[in-house]
Amino acid sequence: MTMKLLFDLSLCGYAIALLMSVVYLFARRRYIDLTANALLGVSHVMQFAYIVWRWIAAWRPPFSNMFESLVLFSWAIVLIYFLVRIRFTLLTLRPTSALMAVLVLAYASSFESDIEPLLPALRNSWWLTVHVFTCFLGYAGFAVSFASAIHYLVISRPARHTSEQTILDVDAVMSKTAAFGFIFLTIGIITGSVWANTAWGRYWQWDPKETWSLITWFVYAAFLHCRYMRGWSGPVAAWISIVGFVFVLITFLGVNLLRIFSGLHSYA
Amino acid sequence: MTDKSVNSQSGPGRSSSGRGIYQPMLGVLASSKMATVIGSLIVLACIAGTVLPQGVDVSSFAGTYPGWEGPIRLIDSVGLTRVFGVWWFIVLLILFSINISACLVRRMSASLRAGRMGVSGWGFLLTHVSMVLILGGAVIGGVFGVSGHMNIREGQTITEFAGTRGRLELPFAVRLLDFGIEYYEQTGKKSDAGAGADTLDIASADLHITTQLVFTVGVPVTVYPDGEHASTNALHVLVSRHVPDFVIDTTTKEISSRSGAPNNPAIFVSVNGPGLSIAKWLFARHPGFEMSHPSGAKPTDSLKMVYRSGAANTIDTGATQRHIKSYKSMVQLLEAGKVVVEAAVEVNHPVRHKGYTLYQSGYNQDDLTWSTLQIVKDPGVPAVYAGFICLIGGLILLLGFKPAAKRTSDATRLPVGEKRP
Repeated sequence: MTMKLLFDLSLCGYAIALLMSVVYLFARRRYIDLTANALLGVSHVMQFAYIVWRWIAAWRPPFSNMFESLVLFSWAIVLIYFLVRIRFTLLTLRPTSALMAVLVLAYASSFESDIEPLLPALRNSWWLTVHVFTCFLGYAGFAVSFASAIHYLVISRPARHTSEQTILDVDAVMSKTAAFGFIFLTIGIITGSVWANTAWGRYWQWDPKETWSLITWFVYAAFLHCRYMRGWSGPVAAWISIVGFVFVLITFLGVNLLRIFSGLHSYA
Repeated sequence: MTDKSVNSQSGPGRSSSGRGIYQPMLGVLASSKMATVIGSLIVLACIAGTVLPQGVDVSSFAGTYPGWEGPIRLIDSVGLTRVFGVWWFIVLLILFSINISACLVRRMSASLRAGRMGVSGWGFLLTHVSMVLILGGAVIGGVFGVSGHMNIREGQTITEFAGTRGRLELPFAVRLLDFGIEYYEQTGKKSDAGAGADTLDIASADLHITTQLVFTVGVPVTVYPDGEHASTNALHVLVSRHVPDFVIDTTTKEISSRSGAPNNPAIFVSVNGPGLSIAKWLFARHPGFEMSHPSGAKPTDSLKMVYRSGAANTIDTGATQRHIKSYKSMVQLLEAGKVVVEAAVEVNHPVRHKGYTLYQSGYNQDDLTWSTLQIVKDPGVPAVYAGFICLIGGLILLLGFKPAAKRTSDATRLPVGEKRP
């Protein structure tokens, strides 16, 4: 078995789990539900094995370029799904999470997957692991919050006749995953700052990635402030969560891929 | 950053009850509206600071894009070409700190009157104190901190460096014992050897040529077809120019090197042979990108050339490329002529002494006996780090335990379809 095979198998597994989850929305057979879950779980374990294998092969944390970041992002999305599932059983959460994982992994496969040597500034395994891992746990939390926000907007229309409990659960998932993402984004920004101070002598340099992380932080701070301190919920909160995720995408992908931005994170 | 539950207790309405100007002012300073306006302006400024070109020379920029001169000068006049250092951005951050502090005072005085804090109260306290600490630390660093660079040669001892406010004296002397670059080897083992040679790969299916030249700038080389040592099909290759950090002036088309570091190594190659004449720039970091000479030399698709720079810190070129793993300076710090510290300054491994921190920030590619050290003294860092710890702790208390969330989740229990407030 090769590393690439593990990657391909996990992508296929997610795709089939997505298909089965969609089928389950229309045909509620218990075996479909169990199989889809098992497949998603097995694929998740295979993807974890892929990350570990790459870590050992590269002799460094595999979180240093766009390909590796996307692999970690998709893995974190499915992890958040399983964490949410411990408390909430929402029909649409699995297909949306699987869909995001498939899209992110498929996008990852469009990037060069060769193991590359690290730039001197990145050669600090501890900070690289903590900073990138926490950032992507945060992004994944926001991704699931985004999916829940769209779900909320769809099911909360009066014509849908969705049960009150389902609406409340989706609303709760939306805000709790955003809160989870916010805590980890904060830790990610802080660890990045401390690392930057160790590597470059400045904890904040207004680099585009840093600045957009701060913008995203402000947006979600406003969201959570409105949600928890002012009691905002419903469609307004859902729309803020959607807008917040657009900022996450700009922070993660836009800053690295758009030519208008260039800075200290251009390697990633 | 504001708390509605406190608004009702200490809003502007209480000013008439004999509390003077203090309560109304606090009400305004701690208001949600102020937080929203300031926060939005900071976000907009941050977006502008990443989208608009920062730190540009407006005159040269306007010269490059003549039609945009008016808008560029307008953007520059309001400070949008240097957002993060302009006075109004600093004012926004100060107003943000005042808003947070006022909110903190109002909420804490309410909690003290009530005689209880609770988990969310501690979370609120820590998160808001953290932001004041971080912004305060940044102000301390900006006012009392110093930073700058020191170019030092092996064997040299220096006591001053070029700072942002002119030349500054260190309370100790720095002596560079040795500077070295560590490379990744193909085997994964490290080496302390110097920079690798620059090479030029040449391949032509038509002429049966496949070779890798170790070239010297200005020295012509003749390349023969594979297996031959004399042939009319030979290629005459001349690398006439090498720049470590290629940059082109878009107006004059003049090519120069932005710095001595191998950030964008490029060579100008002329190749003449049977039926072909090529003159072009090749880039080590961008093997697929070529720039032909404007003199009108005839291009050809049958000849493939790849320039590999031995010194460039590239990671995407061929198998013969060596990659920089690390670079470090062995230094001694001296006081009154005596060595007090001897250590290696390396990327990610700075050396600290007497409040100053020495970072490895660069080197001279053309002369590896020179090293560039960054010197930083930032007395605001402890406050900033204390703010970081408070922020994480506060968020865990606020969002991890979430008593407030429990309240609002009850509030969301509305009939389906009914509009939420």
